Amino acid sequence: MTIVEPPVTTQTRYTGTPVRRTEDPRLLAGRGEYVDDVTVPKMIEAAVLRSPEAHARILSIDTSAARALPGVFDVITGADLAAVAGQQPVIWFPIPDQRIAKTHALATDRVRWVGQAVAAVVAVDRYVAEDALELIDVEYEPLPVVADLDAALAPDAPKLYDDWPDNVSGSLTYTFGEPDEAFAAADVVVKESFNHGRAFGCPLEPRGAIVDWDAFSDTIDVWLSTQAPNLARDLLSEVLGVPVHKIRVRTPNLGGGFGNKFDFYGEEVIAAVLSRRTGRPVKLIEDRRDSFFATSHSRDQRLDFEMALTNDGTIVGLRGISYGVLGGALGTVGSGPPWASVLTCMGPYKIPNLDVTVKAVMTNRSPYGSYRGWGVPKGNIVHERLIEIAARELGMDRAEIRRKNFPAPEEFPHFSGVAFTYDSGRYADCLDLAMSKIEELGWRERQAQARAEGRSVGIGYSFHVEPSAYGPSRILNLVGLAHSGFDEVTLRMDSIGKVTVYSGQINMGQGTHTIYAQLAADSLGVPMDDIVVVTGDTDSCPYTGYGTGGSRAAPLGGAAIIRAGERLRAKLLRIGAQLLEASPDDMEIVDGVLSVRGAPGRSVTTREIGDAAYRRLLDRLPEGEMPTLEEVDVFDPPNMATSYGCTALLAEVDRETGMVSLIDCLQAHDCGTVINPMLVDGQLAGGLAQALGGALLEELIYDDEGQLRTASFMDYLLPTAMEIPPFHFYHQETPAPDIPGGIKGVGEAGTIAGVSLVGSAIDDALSDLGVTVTRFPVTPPRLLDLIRAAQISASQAKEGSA
Amino acid sequence: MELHAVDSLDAALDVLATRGERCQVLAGGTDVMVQLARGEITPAALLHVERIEALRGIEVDGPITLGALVTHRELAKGVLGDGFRSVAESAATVGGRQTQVVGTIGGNVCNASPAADTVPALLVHDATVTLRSSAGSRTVPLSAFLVGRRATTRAPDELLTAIGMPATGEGSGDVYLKVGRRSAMEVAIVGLAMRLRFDEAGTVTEARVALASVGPRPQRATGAEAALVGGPLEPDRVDAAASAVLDGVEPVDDLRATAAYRRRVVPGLLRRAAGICAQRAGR
Repeated sequence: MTIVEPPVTTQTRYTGTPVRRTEDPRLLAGRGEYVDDVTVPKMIEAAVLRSPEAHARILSIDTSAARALPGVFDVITGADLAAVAGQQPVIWFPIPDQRIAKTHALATDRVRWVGQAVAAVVAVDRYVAEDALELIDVEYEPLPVVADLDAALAPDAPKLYDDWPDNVSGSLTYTFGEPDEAFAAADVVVKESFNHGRAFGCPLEPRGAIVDWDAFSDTIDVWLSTQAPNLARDLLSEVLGVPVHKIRVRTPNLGGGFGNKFDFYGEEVIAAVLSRRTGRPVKLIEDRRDSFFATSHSRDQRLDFEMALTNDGTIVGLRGISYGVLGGALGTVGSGPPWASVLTCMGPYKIPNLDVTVKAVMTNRSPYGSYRGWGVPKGNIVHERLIEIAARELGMDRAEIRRKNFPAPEEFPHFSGVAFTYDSGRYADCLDLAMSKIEELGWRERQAQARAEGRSVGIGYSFHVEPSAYGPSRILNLVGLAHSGFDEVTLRMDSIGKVTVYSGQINMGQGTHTIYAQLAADSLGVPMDDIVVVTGDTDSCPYTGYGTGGSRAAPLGGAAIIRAGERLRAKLLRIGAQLLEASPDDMEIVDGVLSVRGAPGRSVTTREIGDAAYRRLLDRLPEGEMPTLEEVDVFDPPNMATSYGCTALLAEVDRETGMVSLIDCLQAHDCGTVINPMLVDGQLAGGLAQALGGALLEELIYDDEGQLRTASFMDYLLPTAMEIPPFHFYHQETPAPDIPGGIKGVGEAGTIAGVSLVGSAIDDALSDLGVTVTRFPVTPPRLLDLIRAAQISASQAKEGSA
Repeated sequence: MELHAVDSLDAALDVLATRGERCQVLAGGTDVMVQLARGEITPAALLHVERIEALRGIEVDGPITLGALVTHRELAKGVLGDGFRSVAESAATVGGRQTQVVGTIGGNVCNASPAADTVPALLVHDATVTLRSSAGSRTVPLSAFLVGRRATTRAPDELLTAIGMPATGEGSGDVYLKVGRRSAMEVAIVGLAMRLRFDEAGTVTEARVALASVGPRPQRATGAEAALVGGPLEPDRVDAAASAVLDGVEPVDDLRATAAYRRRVVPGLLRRAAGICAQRAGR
């Protein structure tokens, strides 16, 4: 396969323009097809019985009454499942020699979190299945509960796994430079312990699967709400022992994924086992309550870090520990997210000396998994909170201290010190862009006026980096991923000259189909209307390493389309040259019309090219040219692409109640080549909204017994339109040097930037009190505690000095 | 489960007379449907009263009479006028727009949630509730109707048909303040309603303060009321009311906030409310 360098005259009619999302009309009209809309002939429906205990031994399970209920086809327990299926797979092993806590999709002898699946029923419909669940009698012997991080790390802590020495799954330290010497010689050291509560992506469409195990052909047909159909197919094969080529995974519309649907869940396996046992297709849909327990939780981390600086604000060192508060077993991505926090804790700053550790700790909570941002939001809390604390300590301007520590544009590629090499960036420009917009929008006047009125209004900043385009396969393998990171695409022009793009990526609201059509249209030189994008079927669509996660669909899928498009375009020009009796070098294609450059009268359309390549080849398809018009490209990036941005927030704090109102928000952002500014803005806004919810509202709260207390929308508060401020987005474009097309990912930017941002704005609003927000979400009671503590210490200081 | 969908009051009362013990009255359904789905209630029958036209009226000349089916949205629009702004403000914070257009005042009262937003506002207006059964009718003060968390004195055969409030006189101002984490779709951490009446000289002649989400039921803060009455609204008087507002109240600890948080916040809310009431009363 030869790689064609992009020619100078590529059509750029669509790239960079705010094309409306082609996916939307169907969804807005209520005609989307989600997994629960799919019905397969002879399908029956399942439901799952979940443990009410956080930690217990299962003494017995009596399913006889459930089996006897009319309409019930089958009831299975962990023993039944383990007879035909392996344990739930883990694909990320970033920590060498880590103890890997695996379980079967149904608990076999012990439960380790509330909501762990212990039995499943399949019946004529979901109503009967749920009625049958109530007839299953499980006898538990409760065990001591490890409810939180401190309980897990206590010297005499009860153990989740009896054959482990403690509850620590593993630990890994990265050192860079001479951190101890740097800290010893530093002028200033700032230190803090940060906490981010448990949260999850909470897609409004819960997860679901239909599995049809055909006993005659021994094939498995799966409809699955997943962001990673190829991964799901490989893992189903692994768990069930069925060859990959006998498994087909189809993905209908997704009602949100947010990383939660990247992971591979036990319900897929449960449905498969039930289908195999009953000979019927089995549908298993998670209801809202299930979703709070059974969909991956995330974010739960404590980060004890310190930053060393010289008096002029130069950062000389960073050290600390990121504790991942994992659940009762490892999820698909293991301890990946807390590890990624450590990889990104230095953020956009040049820090020559690092000593950073990830420690993965098991607790009796739901398993930890993927959620948009994947650890990086907590890395951001470390560097953005600490640099602001340092600025306060040194009496420096918050923008100035950041600017001082950025790598200069000519210093890229920049090695962060831990794993990542940032490809390119103009960080100071981006910071300046944000600062200039703050002036333009009049925030400083608004703040001054509010303060004059006695109101506490603050401006918060967050500079973030987003390592995107995960990733170079061999490097991912090297750091512990048992999977690849390339992306494959097939570009096919048919016999009438229309184009289909086949991709393994999944569309879940981000607009993949639209941007793929934009890129394919431009790389081929055809109208966007001539292009159809097909995803969501492992039988017809190519293999994508990983899946749709890691902000990779645009840069990697996009690059593959551009590269395949260039080759297919060259073939179109060769055939066009034959038809027009010209030299291919003199040909061009614009809007689907091929002509001889300088002689616009001599032209043919892609329709005639298609005909020549598929049907009437004689004298029209050049000798030696392969019939049909199809190109496959597999793009495995040589490096990742690092997006970045500077976000600012205007917020008001009510000192009487601790309530925070978000007034206005802006983000200056650089994701390299912008394919569709409207969709980029949508990604930024959606991510920020999720982060603001995580910063102020959302928390999966466990009590001392390991019971999840916020398992409903009444108690787990998602942000609504009422809480979210207006957003203003500004772009600069620094192309990714290692990605054809220069595209960087943007899917996670907002989630990364938005949490520390709220802390920064609150601190600024209360700057007279010297409040430092370290725990998220910042609920009114928590903030009022900080305010009162600061007021008390201020009045004590006053008394002391009097 | 039986469903009785009726369009007349008599038909509803007939159903309650025979099936009342195991019947759940259903109006807008914003509480009942959630409780049914969660298995918190398991009635044998549902009585759907939403189509009874006779329960929809609003009388605003002189004393106020609200039919039980008046929606939060209607109240939020301010149909009761400037004398009842706390009622409008509280109705505007019940759930979100979608639930306000179907949720009813009668339902909010009968659901008897400790966090019911409209109840403190009704309490500061000395609201009464009228209950009908096939045997007769009675009218009782709202404060006596609500007896605990999700508990009222409604008999199984009775239907709440109307809510009454006396007209507010000259020199009155009222307000409802809510502390919550979200601006919509939020159960109050604390709700406080206040109504003050002043005479020409600026003396507070009548004061009502009521709280939601601090105890098992929304309740009046009579100590604070007494402290506010009898003189001009000076800082000392407001301070006294603020320190008395939690007398006899044991704020709850729950997921939304600690009791300590509620204790800290309520006095501040009272001060803020007093200022707004005075302003609205034109004093």
